[in-house]
Parts: sequence; structure tokens; C-alpha cells
Amino acid sequence: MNKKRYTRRDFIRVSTLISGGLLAGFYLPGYSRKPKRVSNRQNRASWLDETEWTDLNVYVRIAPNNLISIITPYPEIGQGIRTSMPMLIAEELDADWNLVSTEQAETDQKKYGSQFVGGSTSMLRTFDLLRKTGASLRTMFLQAAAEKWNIDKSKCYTQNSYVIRKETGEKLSYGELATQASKISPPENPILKNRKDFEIIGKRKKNLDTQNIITGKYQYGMDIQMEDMLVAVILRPPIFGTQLKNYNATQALKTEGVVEIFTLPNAKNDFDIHRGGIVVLAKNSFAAIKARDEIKAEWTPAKSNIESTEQLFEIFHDKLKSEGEILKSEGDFENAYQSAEIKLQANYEIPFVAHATNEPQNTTVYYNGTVCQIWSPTQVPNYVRSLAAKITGLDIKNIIVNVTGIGGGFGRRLEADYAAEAIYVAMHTKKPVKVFWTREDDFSFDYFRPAGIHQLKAGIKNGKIVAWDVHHTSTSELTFNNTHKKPWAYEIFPDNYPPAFVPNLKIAYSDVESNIAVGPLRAPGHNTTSFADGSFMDEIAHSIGVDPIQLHLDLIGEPKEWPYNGDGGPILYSKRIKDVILEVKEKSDWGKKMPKNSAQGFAFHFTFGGYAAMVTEVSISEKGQLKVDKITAVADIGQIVNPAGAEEQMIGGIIDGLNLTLNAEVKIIDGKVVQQNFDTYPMLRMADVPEIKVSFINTYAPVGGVGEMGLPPVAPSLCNAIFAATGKRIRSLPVRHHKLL
Amino acid sequence: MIQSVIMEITLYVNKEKHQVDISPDEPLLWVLRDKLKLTGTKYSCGKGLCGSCTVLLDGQAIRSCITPALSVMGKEITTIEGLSKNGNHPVQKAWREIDVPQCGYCQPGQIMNAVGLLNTNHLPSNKEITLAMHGNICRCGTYPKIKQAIKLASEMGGKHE
Ligand code: FES
Ligand code: FES
Repeated sequence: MNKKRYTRRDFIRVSTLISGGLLAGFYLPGYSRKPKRVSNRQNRASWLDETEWTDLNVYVRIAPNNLISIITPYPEIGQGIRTSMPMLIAEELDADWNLVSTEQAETDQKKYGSQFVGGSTSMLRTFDLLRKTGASLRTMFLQAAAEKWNIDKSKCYTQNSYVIRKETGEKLSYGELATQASKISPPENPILKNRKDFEIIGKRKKNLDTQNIITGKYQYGMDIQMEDMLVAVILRPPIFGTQLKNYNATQALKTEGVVEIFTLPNAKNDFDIHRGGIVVLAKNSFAAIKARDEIKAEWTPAKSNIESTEQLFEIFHDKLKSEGEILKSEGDFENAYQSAEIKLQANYEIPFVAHATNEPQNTTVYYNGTVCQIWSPTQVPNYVRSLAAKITGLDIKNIIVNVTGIGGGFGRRLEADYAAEAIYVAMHTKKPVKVFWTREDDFSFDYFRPAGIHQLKAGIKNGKIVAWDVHHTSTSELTFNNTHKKPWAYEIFPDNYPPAFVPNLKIAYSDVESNIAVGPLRAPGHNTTSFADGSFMDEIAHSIGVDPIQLHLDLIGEPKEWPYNGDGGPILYSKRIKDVILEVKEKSDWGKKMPKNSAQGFAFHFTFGGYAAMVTEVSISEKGQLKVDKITAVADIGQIVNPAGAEEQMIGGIIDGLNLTLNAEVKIIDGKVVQQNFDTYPMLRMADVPEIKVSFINTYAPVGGVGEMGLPPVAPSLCNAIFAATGKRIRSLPVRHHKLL
Repeated sequence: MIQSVIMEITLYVNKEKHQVDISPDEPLLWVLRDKLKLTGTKYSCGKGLCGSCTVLLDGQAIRSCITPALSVMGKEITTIEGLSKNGNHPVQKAWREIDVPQCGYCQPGQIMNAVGLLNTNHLPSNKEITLAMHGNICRCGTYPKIKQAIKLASEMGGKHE
């Protein structure tokens, strides 16, 4: 939290670069918000701690030749933040976008506040702040030019990184003015632009990193190279809940290029979040991988016996016989259900799924006893830094965390297990070392999206849903993290639509403890509740012969502000739900005549403040082969900074959702992860991608996030379409396990 | 023991000649990345299942993670770094125009695979594109843009600079 008191003058600090350019840094007083997520100080859920937002410090560098570098404080995981954040500053600064480049901030929570990325929150956290940054600077350039020309600053204006004198058209570049501007005291209340005058925000901008990516120069964690660097892979306990007993590495040590084989300490402190195991240190990656195969290791027996998905599902079914922890109870469910004309009940089963980031986990560390330098593809740089301080015992000042390019996040890199083990390895080697994971490691030691079952009941009277009951049971993320307080908090959202809109309501949850690692995955919780709720609404509609979209509209009723206690709250606007639904209805030509064996399916979901409605069209061949033909999505995520990026994120989320719905499943047998690579864990390919049409409405609402909203409605809309086409109801994922004809 | 055998071989990568020490079963991928420091070619699955490691072998797209370096001696290897001087190969131009990447990790492999396709088929149909690109996973879901970029590159005459 923001403990320091800041004076107004602290807001902006500017100085001259040695080269004569300008360097601006910002402190913003009072920019602190209580975390909305459940706070968790336990070991594994690192990113929770990072929701405390303190003051922020952003730098802008302007060189004498007018080039601008804007620092991006947050990690880029493919969400386009290294483009959209600079856009905010550049807009208010009236910068020439063609001169803008970006660089990654150092990791320093004192300066930048929390630098974690997750929950589609980055834009929310920085939108006003970064614009003020740009606006202050712009005013200072105006002032600097006015002083040079000896006129009032009202006689000048700014455009494309120049200050222009109105009467004469004379120009001075920001670069030329930088030294002068840096001496001006920053305005207290810079005037922000009126939205209608935006020239950068709301315009389609290309990714600033594209050129480096397409020439192979963009550097990911895997690509870190330095002199004397060694590489390492780790042979980890193959079964959940086991530890190393003994091993024989005689053969492995003979592999050319192997330097040393040693063990990681077993976990003993609460910050020991790695899994332990045997480290193979080598001169090159291939030698390390090859030698590891030669090690013969013995492991202790597992601590718990819940070590297979099959067993787990039996336990889930048992749990559903109990009442569970009641999270919400409104009206009188039992009574309303008993007196209903139609009663419906259905179970929806959810498998474990993997993150499968394209770049496997890795981290490079150089520790020399006094300083620890880290290069990590992480979504939680501040956490990695404090973790390193704890592990090494060094002062945090001597820990340097460099955020590298990141080959996909999806929530996997909110965990810091892979950084922790690299730190331990580096403390042993005292030489730069890159610990990298093979794809097989990446599958085996992922933190999976939790598996579970949603059991839903509804009572219908006079064509209206009068009673709704959910009992959700799963392997809770928070239970896995030893936070038993609200084990449901990431799994189910009691205030969400549709359940919260039903007058007689009961929501219950039962967590199941297991050694199987689980963690957040894009739209955590929402990516499973959407499937259950969205499918069940469709089941209700069909059971009473009402058009599925009409059923939603009936339930939504008149515009109303509903309380929403959770991320994306505090209010859920029924009008915004209705508007995206009506828009997608029109855009998709809902109810149009479809060829034989093809149909449309509808779903809506509210995710972290974003409203998304979707119509999916499928067709099923004579042989029962499913094809997803088209997806029409309409989202209301409020104001959009980069429409090109937002559209890309929606499409990316939809494709991710398709993969989760159609393909993704991790099975665990005898404590071992069955899926080890993309041969047994099929991924969506180009040919599987349908035509996707995305549009945004209500872009005048306050800015929101977009990284996750496209995903949740995919499963229900797709399965609802399958039902409409075939009469077959999909109540467990993935779809590929079902015969459709 | 085969493990301790090390051989010196000559590789032609991006029009340059390199002498490298390898073990006989060492995949080209790791030689490029670790020994020649050409890290534009990515590791993701190591089993020929994802396409991230795609490079050109005499103009044809191959998966470097399952190609022993020993087997490509004397042949012309092109990696993303050697595709053009400033990213001006028609396929890269198209990629820039369409602004394809998200996280970008799969993109060098996608580009090299697309170049391989256009080297043999200047005007691929939609079907031919999806067929040729089937082995390349993009976890971020840039597929629609990849397809667009390949079409654009083929219109621009994607074969040579
Ligand atoms: S790394 Fe070679 S195909 Fe995946
Ligand atoms: S852009 Fe991220 S994997 Fe393709």
C-alpha cells in the first residue's frame, strides 16, 4: 500500500540526459487501491501478493534527434502491452508515433508499483496515470518553446513531436527543446485531451516489436546467451507428492558436455516452491537433455493417494451428494424448485488442462555471492525479486530482475517455480546458468486449470426461471496454495449472471484436496463456469420451447445495476449484457436458415468487467465430423486503446477457447501426467480455425481489459450449436471425446 | 560409447561456412542455437510436432529439432536471421504489413515454413496454405493473420527478394 506521503511537486520529475535529451519520471500520489482479489500470503500464489498497487513511476526519454523511448513497466506476454502503454503517453504528449519505441522497465516495485500482468487489469491500472504523464510533458514543451520565442504559450501548439508557433509556423522539435523543458516545473494539473481529439488512442496501431520478432532478434528467456554460461535441465519427482530417495548418475556423467550432476534441496521453507530433483549441468542444451535420460533415480512413495483423474472424479461425484459450503442463498430455492412446473438438472464435467505456452519455462541466473541477476520470462517480476532475496539471503537491492521477451503467458507465468529452481542452481554454480524446461517438463510440471464438476438445477414456472441451484466441486487453486479461507474464490462467482438474476438461488462449493498442481489459466474460473451456465441456459430454453436468446432477454429484464463483488465489479450492468446480446443477434443473423446438419449456438459471459456475447455456427458431416464454421462475437470492454490489439486479443481468446473446448485434456494416472507433448495433447491448427468476426460496442464506457473476455463464451456457444444441429448435449469437455452422430 | 564421440563438421548457414563440434545424434536446432548463437530458431516441442524450429534446407522447410546436424553437412541452411538483410523478404514484408505476431515465439518458424511453401508454390490456394501450415502451432492464435500474410506475400511474388 502507499505508505509514503507525496507532495504535488513529486508528481513529475524531469532531468536532462547527458546527451542533452530529456528524461522524465513520475510519481503519482495517492494511486493505491485495495486489492480486490483475495489476498494470499502463502507460498505459491505469487501473483496475489502483487495486487497491491502503490505509486507508479514511468520514464520517457527524448533524445536530441527527437526519438522517443517510452518505458513499459509491465511484462509483454503477447497481449500487446508494449504498444498500448506507450500509446497512452504518446497521445497526450502529441508525440510522433513513428518516432516512438519502447523498452522494458527494470523490476522495482517502489518505482513502478506492482508490475504483474494478469486478470486483464493493466489498462485499468494505468490509463489515467500514463495520460497525465504525457500531458504534463506536453505542457512543459509548450512552455519551453514559448520562452525561447519569448511569447505566451497560448500562441503555440504541439503536433507530432514539435511545438509550432501559430503566427509564423516556426517549429521546434521536442528533442531541441528537451534541455529547456527539463528545467520547467511540471504543471500541477495537466489538462487531458478530450476523447474526440484523440489521434493515437482508439486508432489501430501496429505492434512496436513486430520488426524484431520477424527477423528473429526479439529475445525470449530461452534466447539469453552470455559468456561462460552453462545450461541445466532438472530431473524432477515424476509423481505428485514424492521426493528423491537416491540416484545413480555414473552413466549420465559420461555424456560429452556434461559438467556436473547434483541435487536440489528438498523443500523446507515456505518459499521453497520448486519441486526438488536432480540437476544436470552442461555446456550445451543437447548434452543436458541427453544426460538426464541416463540418470537412474529412486523416489519416495506419494503422500496422498488422490493421484489420478479417475479417482478424483469419483470424489467429485461423492462431494455432490453433500451440501457443500453455501456461498449464496437468496429467496427460497427449495420451495420454488419443488413448486416449479419443470425441473431440470445437469452435471457439467471439466478436465484439467495445460497452459502449454509456446516457449517452455526457463530462467537464467547469475549469482556471485553478493549480487543475483535474473533473466526470466515472468508475469510477476516483483515476486521473483522478493523470492530471490529470500532464497539467496541477499538484500533486495542486490537482486536484479530482467523481464525478457515471453513466449506466451496464459497465467502459467504467474507462478515462479521455474525461477526459484534456477536461483538455487545458480547459487550452486556461481556462474551464469540457464535452467530450461523441455516440453515434457512443461506438461508434467504445469499448474493445470482445475478439474471439477458443476451440478446445476433449475425450476421453471410460467415460462420463467424461478429457481437456480449450483453446486460446484473442484480441485481449488486456493486450496492447493494452502489458503483454505475461500477455496471457491477463483472457481465460481456467486454474483455473476445468470444465476444472480434468478430470484430463488443457492450456490454451493466443495473443494477437493489433491497433490496435483493447479493454477490460474486465462479467464480463471470463468473458463469453466461459462460452460456450465451457458449450456444450462440453452437446456432450459429448449426444454420450454423458447428461443435461447429470448430466454436470456427475459431473465435480464429491465435495465438494472446489480452488485458484483469480485474482479470486474462492483457493478454488473444488465443493460450492457442486453446490448451485446442484441448486437450479436443482429450481426450473426441469429435464426437464419441453416443447411442440414448445421446450426447456430449462443452464449454470453461476463468476465472481469468485460461483456461478451457469441454466436457459433457448426456443421456436422455425414460421418459425424464436426466443423466450426463461423464465430460472431460482440464485446463491451469499454474504451479501447488499440483496436487492432483488442481485436487480436479477442480472436486469440476465441481460438484459445476453441482449443479448450474441442481438444484440451490432461489426464493423470498413478500420479503421472499422461500427456507429454503435442502428439497426445492436440492443439488447434490453422485448418480448424473458423471465420471469426469480432466487434466492440459501448466504447465510451471506462477502459477495461480484453485479454480474457473472448474465451469463456466459446465452449457454451459451440456446444449449444452442436445440440441445435444434432440433438446431442455435450456435458463434458473436451468435445473430441463425444460421438456426434 | 557413442556418448563420448565428438566430430567436427562443416555447416553452411546463412551463406557462411562454420566448423562445429557436434555429437553424431545432435539435432541441427541445438547446433544453431547453442553453438552458432542463432537463437531466432526456436525450441518448443523438440519432436517435430509444432514447427517452431523450422529452417530452410536448400530452400525447403524442415524441422531442425529432428534433423541431425550430421545429415545436413554441405547443404545450404537458412535461418530467420539469414532470410533477408533488414527483414525485407516478401514474406517478412507481408508479415509486417498484416502485423501478424502476438507473443511472437512461433513466428520465425511460421515465416520459414511459409517461405518454404512459396518457394514451391507461388500462388497457393486457401486449402494449400492450411495444408502446408498444418505442422505449425501458434499458441496465441494468430492463424487468421498468418493466412492473410501468406496470401499477401504470394501476391507480392513471395519467392525471392
Ligand atoms: S521444436 Fe521442432 S517441431 Fe517443435
Ligand atoms: S504468436 Fe505466440 S505462439 Fe504464435
